[in-house]
Amino acid sequence: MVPNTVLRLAAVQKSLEDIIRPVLPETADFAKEQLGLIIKSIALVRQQIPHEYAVHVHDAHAFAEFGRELIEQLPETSGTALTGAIERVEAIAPTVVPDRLALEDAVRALRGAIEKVLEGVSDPEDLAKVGPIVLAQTERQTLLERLWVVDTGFDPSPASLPTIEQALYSSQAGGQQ
Amino acid sequence: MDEKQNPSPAWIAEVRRRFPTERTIDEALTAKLRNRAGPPYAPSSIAEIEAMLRAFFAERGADATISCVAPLGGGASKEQFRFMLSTPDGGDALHVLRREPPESVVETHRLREYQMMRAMAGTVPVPDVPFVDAEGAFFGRPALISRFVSGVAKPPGGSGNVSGLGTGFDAVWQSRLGPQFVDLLARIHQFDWRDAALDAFEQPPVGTDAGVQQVINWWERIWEEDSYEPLPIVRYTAQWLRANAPPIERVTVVHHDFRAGNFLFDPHTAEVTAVLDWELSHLGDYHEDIAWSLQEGYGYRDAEGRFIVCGLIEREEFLRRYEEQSGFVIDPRRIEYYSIMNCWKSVIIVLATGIRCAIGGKSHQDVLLTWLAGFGHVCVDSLTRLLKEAHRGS
Repeated sequence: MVPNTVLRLAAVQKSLEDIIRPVLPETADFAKEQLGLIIKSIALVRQQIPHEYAVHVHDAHAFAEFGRELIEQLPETSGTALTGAIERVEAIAPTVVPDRLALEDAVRALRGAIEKVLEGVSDPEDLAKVGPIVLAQTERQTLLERLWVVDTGFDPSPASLPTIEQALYSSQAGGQQ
Repeated sequence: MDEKQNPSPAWIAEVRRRFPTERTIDEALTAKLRNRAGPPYAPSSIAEIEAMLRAFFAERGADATISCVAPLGGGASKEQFRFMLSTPDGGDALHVLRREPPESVVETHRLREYQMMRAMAGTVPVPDVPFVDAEGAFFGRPALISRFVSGVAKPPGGSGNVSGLGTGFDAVWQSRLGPQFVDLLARIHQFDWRDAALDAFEQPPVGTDAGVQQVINWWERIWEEDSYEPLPIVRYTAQWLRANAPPIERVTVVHHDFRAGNFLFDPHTAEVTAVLDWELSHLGDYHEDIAWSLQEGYGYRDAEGRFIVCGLIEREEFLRRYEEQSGFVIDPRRIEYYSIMNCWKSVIIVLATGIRCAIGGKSHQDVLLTWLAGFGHVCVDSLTRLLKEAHRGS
């Protein structure tokens, strides 16, 4: 996914700093103050985004553990709504959260390795053999990419695209529908 | 570690060896790589731009006054500033300074743009370009100065996304601009470039695919240098293009970005006042230009399902009128080939170079470049479809 959200926000932040801030009138105190907060907020969000999902999973396990500790001390609460809430969280939350940046690097390396293989294919027969695989995979992948940026307004047939839920979660057991 | 963000001399030498291309294209791309580890884009103040302009004209012995310096909007690639140049004889003329940012969505050579615009003057309307700072000695980075040309790029009150992409012209504007659009393209291709001062350009040989292979090298090199996220179809397409390259039978000037948004017109008379954005121009096969204008992303389908080229003229009428005006025959197989090549180039421009700029914070338009990724994925989709059609046809 290029650009990822962090890069997109970096570009927005830079534009605010380089292009917008210098042209604000000297007397526009409130606007300058707001812009300063906007820029700081964007910088903060850029740092948070790679770890946001991990924080959610951390919270899931932290509060599930807390709830179980409470039940242990107050056995009469066992089997109540609290038990159900803990079980629901534990059914959804993964036990291990992958390091997002490491995962991004690894996937990029894998894509690069595939590119390298294709770069070496020059024989027409081999090209004909791999062509349908490349095109079919690209078609599936591009559906998601188009969907991801559909609100930029460039897609000629946005209505034909699935929803983000259908594209990312519908095939996963227990996932969103 | 992304080696491309801080390329070593050995890495640069290897990429140059693997993808040999025209001398001045190589110079521009190599300069980009050598500067990549440098600082990000930082805007120059109006006072700084004015001082640079003064120094530039003083060096030329011109007793000129600079005033009314202001940034111009539009253009994804180069910084643009309008200014008034006044000479002692009372002459006042608006000019445009077009300066490279540290990196831009297309990395090109100012000397090529300068030479081509001067060569085409008189054939099609182009802004007069009296000055060039090809090495950036005065403006910090390479720059061109042209005469300001009045006109608009889209109809008054018109909507649309980024200029030229999805720009809508109603039926009245289509009838006024569509025929001119085709005729200008025909005139560009009819231009006899052989005696023109174009020594920054190399002439591809006729009757072989050598010139086409060189264009593939040019763009695959850019993918190699700029891409951040590998996209297997880009490499596959490069190999497909190499295997299927047609010989060039007639060498013409190729504008390379001939579409709505890249010409100005008088909003009152509808007369085209300037053809812009010559920075990617080269000598090659005219089918490359025709296929560029025909790209799906630049036009739309009307209620009857007819494709309206660049939002200006129906496809069959575009092709018929082009043949009539140019006297050149359009080969559908070559259109098919160059449609694939052009779609591939669009993917490279938007999803490799545009993103690489934003990663380094290298341009004044980083936010636009990340926005354009939406167009890039549509281009990937078009590329896939075109290749499937080509597979079925072969």
